[in-house]
Amino acid sequence: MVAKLKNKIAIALALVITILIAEFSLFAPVEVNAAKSINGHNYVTENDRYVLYMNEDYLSIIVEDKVTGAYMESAMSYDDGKNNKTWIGAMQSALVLTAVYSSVDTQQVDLINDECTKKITYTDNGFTAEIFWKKYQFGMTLEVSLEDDGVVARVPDESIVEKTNQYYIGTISIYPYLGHSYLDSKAGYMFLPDGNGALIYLDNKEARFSSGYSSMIYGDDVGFIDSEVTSLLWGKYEMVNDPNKILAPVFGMAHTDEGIAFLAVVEEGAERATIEAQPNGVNIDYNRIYAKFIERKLYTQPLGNDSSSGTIKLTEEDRSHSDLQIRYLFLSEENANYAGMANAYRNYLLGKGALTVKDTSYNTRIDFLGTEREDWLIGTSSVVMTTVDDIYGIYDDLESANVTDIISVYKGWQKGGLYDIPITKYKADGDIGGTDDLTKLIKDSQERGISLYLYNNALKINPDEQNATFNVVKRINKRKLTEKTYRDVYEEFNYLTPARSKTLVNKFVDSYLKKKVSNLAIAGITNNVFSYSYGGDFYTRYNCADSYKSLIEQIDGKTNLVLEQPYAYLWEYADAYLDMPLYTSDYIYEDESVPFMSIVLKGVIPVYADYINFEANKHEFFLRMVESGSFPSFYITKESSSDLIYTNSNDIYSSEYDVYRDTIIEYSTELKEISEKTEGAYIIGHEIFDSQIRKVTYDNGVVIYINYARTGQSADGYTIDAMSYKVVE
Amino acid sequence: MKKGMRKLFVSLAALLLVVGIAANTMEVDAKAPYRTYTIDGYGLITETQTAYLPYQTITKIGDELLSGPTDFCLTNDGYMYILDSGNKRVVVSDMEANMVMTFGQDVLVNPRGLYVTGDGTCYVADRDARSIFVFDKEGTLINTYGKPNHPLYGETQDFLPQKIVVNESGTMYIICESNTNGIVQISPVDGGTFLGYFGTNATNASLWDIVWRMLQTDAQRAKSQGNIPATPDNMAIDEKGLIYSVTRGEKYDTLKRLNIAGVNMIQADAYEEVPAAVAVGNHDNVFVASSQGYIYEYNNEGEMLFVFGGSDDGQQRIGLSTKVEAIQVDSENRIYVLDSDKAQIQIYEPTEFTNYLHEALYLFSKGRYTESKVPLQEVLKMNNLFDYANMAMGRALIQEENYEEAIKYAKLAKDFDGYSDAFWEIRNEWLKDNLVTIILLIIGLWVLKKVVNVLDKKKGILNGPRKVLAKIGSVKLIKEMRYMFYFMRHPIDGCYGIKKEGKVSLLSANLLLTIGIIFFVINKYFCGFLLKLPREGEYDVASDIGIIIIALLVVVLCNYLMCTINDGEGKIKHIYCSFIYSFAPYLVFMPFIFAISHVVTYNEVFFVEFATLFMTIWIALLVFISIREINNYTIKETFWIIFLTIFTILIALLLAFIIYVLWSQVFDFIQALFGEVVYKIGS
Repeated sequence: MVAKLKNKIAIALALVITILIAEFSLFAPVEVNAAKSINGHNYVTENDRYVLYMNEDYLSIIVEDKVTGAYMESAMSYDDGKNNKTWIGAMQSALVLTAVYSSVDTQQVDLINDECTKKITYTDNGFTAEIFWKKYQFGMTLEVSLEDDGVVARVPDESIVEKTNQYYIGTISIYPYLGHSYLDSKAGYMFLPDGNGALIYLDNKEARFSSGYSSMIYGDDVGFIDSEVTSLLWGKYEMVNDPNKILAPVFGMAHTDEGIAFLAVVEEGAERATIEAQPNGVNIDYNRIYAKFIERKLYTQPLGNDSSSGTIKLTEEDRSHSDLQIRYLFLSEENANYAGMANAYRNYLLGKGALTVKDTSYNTRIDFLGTEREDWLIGTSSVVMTTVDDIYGIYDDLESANVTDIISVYKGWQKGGLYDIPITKYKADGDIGGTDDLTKLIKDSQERGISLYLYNNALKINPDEQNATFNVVKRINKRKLTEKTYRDVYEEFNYLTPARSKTLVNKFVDSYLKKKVSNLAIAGITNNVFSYSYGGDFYTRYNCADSYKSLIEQIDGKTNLVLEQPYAYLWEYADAYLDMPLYTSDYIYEDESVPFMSIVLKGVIPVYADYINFEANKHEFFLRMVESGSFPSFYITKESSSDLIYTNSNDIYSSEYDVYRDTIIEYSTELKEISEKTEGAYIIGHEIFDSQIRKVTYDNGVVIYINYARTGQSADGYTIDAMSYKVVE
Repeated sequence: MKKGMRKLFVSLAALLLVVGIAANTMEVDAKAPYRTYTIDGYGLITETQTAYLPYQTITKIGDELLSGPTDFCLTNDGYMYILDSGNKRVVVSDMEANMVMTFGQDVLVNPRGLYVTGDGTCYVADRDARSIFVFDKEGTLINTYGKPNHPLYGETQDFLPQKIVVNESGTMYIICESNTNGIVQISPVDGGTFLGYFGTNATNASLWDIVWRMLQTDAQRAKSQGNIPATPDNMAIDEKGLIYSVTRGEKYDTLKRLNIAGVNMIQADAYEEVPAAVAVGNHDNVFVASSQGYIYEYNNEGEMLFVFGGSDDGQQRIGLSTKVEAIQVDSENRIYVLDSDKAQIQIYEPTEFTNYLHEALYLFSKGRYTESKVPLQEVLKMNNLFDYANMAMGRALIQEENYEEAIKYAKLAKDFDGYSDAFWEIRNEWLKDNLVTIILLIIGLWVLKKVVNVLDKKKGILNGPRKVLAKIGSVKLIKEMRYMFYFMRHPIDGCYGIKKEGKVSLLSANLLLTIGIIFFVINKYFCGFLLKLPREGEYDVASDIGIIIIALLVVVLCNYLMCTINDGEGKIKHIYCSFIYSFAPYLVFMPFIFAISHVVTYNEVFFVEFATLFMTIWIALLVFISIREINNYTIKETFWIIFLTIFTILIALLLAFIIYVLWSQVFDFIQALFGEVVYKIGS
């Protein structure tokens, strides 16, 4: 009896001890050696500043700042108990995929809910994991490495395998919850590249938003869009402006209270990726921002030419081929904010050679419209707006008012007017003075320090003026891509194939260079990439972007090139950046607009803002230019813009030189004065105060305060008048 | 972990405190996600710069969220009364969205409309309580009005109040659901006296309806849906006590401004199909909001100045709406739009451009034309093509007697009346200046003619030219063409000439046709501005020519077909030529009409109209006579043949239409088949 009891006690004791040991061993590393494990993630490697941890089950990572102890995690560690299995799977996996199955692409595939094999190998500065999902019969290798500036996550193209015809990979999101936060548990914001840059604060959104930001890097793919569902007034008129296109493949997350942030750069695969930013309240109560790579996309194939003949849903035949790579540039303490992100991105681009420092001295951009066409009895007749002689006159007049720092883009200079495109050779319209006069104007202007660039939209073709039967782009569904203008003279345009653009631009440049002039403004191909089909073959956005890049690279060697709103991969070729947006797209979940792109480019290449003509609040726009360090742009005609009323350019409702003369002089004088103090300097700091004051700090010590409030405000001991600015040296 | 959680909750609580104070409103920066349009002189929509920018979004009052709000009201002393229908209460807040008080929780059942008078008395229209509740400034219920028991109200008529406005004397104007008699007018006297119906919408029966009803039997008529007038959707009241109402489906009568007698005094030049609310601005302007989120601004006359905003189809951008219920304007011209679906109030702020326009609007409506030129000039600087500004500028310049400038603006704005007035003055001026010269010129010419005649008689100086002319005149083709002058004066002989004497040829007829077409095209596109039918800048010459030729061929052919089976003597060539020669008056008159059209104003437009009428009758007579003569018919037979010809034309058109439809079907079928085969082979 006693023995039995002893036995029982012994067993009980043993049990207790085992449990204790088990418990101890489970929690011991956390308590004893915190540096080696966080929230179930084990130490992998470290560099001077950061430590990388990884959980082998989820492949999730944690990046810790050794100095401050702050860290960002890719897996949800605090569960509020409201999330179902699918969401938990999405929130903890390193990779979240969607599978395409019988033309539906919404099936989520992750590392937790779906059975998969993982083969993890540790490398010098990280790890690689070969993953294969049994049910879906596809897999890939995830490579994570800790480099000097942060973490690089990569899925090589050749590692992606699909072994059945039943399931295909639809999309791949890598570390979608890296840096996430729960409701308002952390102070900070998500940075998204909408327009010039926008922030979503990590405060409690009280479930006000039903969806978040989801936008394709480098704009929507027009090769896939069949019918634009927009809100039409009276069934006819488009009421909603297109949102801004994403100009650079970046996004960011900052936990400002903890002094840690990252800027993610999508280094490979950006052309086929979207940026997703969802504030808390969108399905779940977590804030998250990430990139989603699209491998295969669905599209609608009509069977006949009219709408009644029915459609079928198809999946892209081949997946897109590119490595997928995101670099997370980690930032700490005083750099853990959007200005820090912008600086990190600038340094990154400069270091990589994707950006080179150009002459950034001040200029006012005064663009001219040469000729347009309006309908006439037979065909069209010319509407002459600004001739070569007019431009001489305007330059002289401005010089007499001491405005001499000018660059110009001359639009509609070519024979046949603004929309006789594409331009195949250097031949100016007789109505503006002819080729020789134009050549002389460009040379004369150059001598007085004014660069006059000829505008060339190398993307579009006007089927009413030129033969658009061949060499034009078709959508993925093999229907010709047409862009409706909703105007009277020319009702639609087509897109040239990238190969054709290349031929024609080169032809033009050759004939242009023969006249010993080389100032060229390229548009169209600078901010459009699309998938297309031509001659029975399919081409992806990668092909399209590569063609355009090689074309621009080719002519960059021969010409002085300015580019109209170029995407990030063309920035290195631009002597000037035209048409930089200064605002966001005004999504309701965006809390603040910040001049991210301007901070990146200020002091590197000169940035010119959108045309002032069409701004309803000119004064505020002026302050925006002061804040972002952008230069002003005017769209000028000698004749009254009412002459354009019956042309395709009837959206230019204000452009007459006599109307804008005083504004040009006033803005030029004022902005030049500011610009001279900041010339060649980088913006290193940008702050937004509650009082609607913004503070911009340059690396040469100059500080500019801008007050957008309708009353005078003070900041840092300075008083700034209402709707005004102050430069402090 | 535990520690982490506690920290989390502490910071959570702290943040809540901070956020709770400052997060009721969101400010945004200046770039609108929507476009702004205005209307041009031809009634077409054109884009203009942003008129109103999103300024603020109120999502919470104090700490409380709204639930399905359906109406609200701004008071002059700076309060917002919001009808929080989902919570069955009225919420009062200041303009910064701080909660002041709530009331009505115990009384309201399904409130739909609210109005607050100058002294803070709040009227609530409660649909399901079938009552109007009146609250005083403190939110105490002081009065209730139920269904009026007046014989004129209608005994079987239910009382389902939806919207309410109250005038200065306390008379209530109530829109009731499914009450098609009009706006219910109740005076507060004796606990609510029914004053009658107000501003009843008219029923409109189309011609088709009338014909259809005539054909129906009584039983069918009783069964069919009655043609009942529409109930207004919403209304507003201005300082003068005028009621503005909006009614869906009333086309150009959607927006009405009703005077005390219930007569509409405004005619809008553009309308919204689904209007939700109307508000009166500070410059005699009117705002209409559609339930999808479009906001229209009209001036005093009903000319549309702007339409902007839009519906949010999931884009979630600031300034777009989901379901608009009410609209208000504050003293700073900001527009407040209540969205019941988003449970928020979106505030829009006028831009610099709009502020200038409002200033001009105000000055212009007060008759201070010269002063209004300053803001108008600013508006035109920003938008050269803004129609209202061009019109107003033109009118202002006419007042200043600067007609030369005025006419430019009037032409740009397609302000035909203004153009006509200015042109009259300019012409008058010109006549005054040049009258003496003209008279001298006429006398001079007369003298010259006399002298030449005398010299000719004596020395025959005109013999040379006369010979040349005779020579030209003797060319066969010219002779044939000149025959038209004879033909138009002597059609019976003329037809004989065509039929028997070969006085004309196909070539001459075709030449005349060509000249006629050229005259037609020139007159159509280049006649005087006031008489021009196509829009400026609109040219469609190819289809003009096509239509003329096809119409001519169809008429001639059908006429010939009918004549041959009705014992007509005419050959097709003769019918064709006589048709064309019948249009001789057109060739003679048109150059004069064209010339006159350039010098007439609306005062003398009668001349052109008369000449055209005269010419048309002449042509018609010639056509009639030539059909009769060429075929040798009696008058009765001619009428009969004309009737048959018209009938044949209709049959021919029908046939052409059927063939076209069939062919396009076959074509589509082949194309779809081909597409599918290609797809099957491809996959």
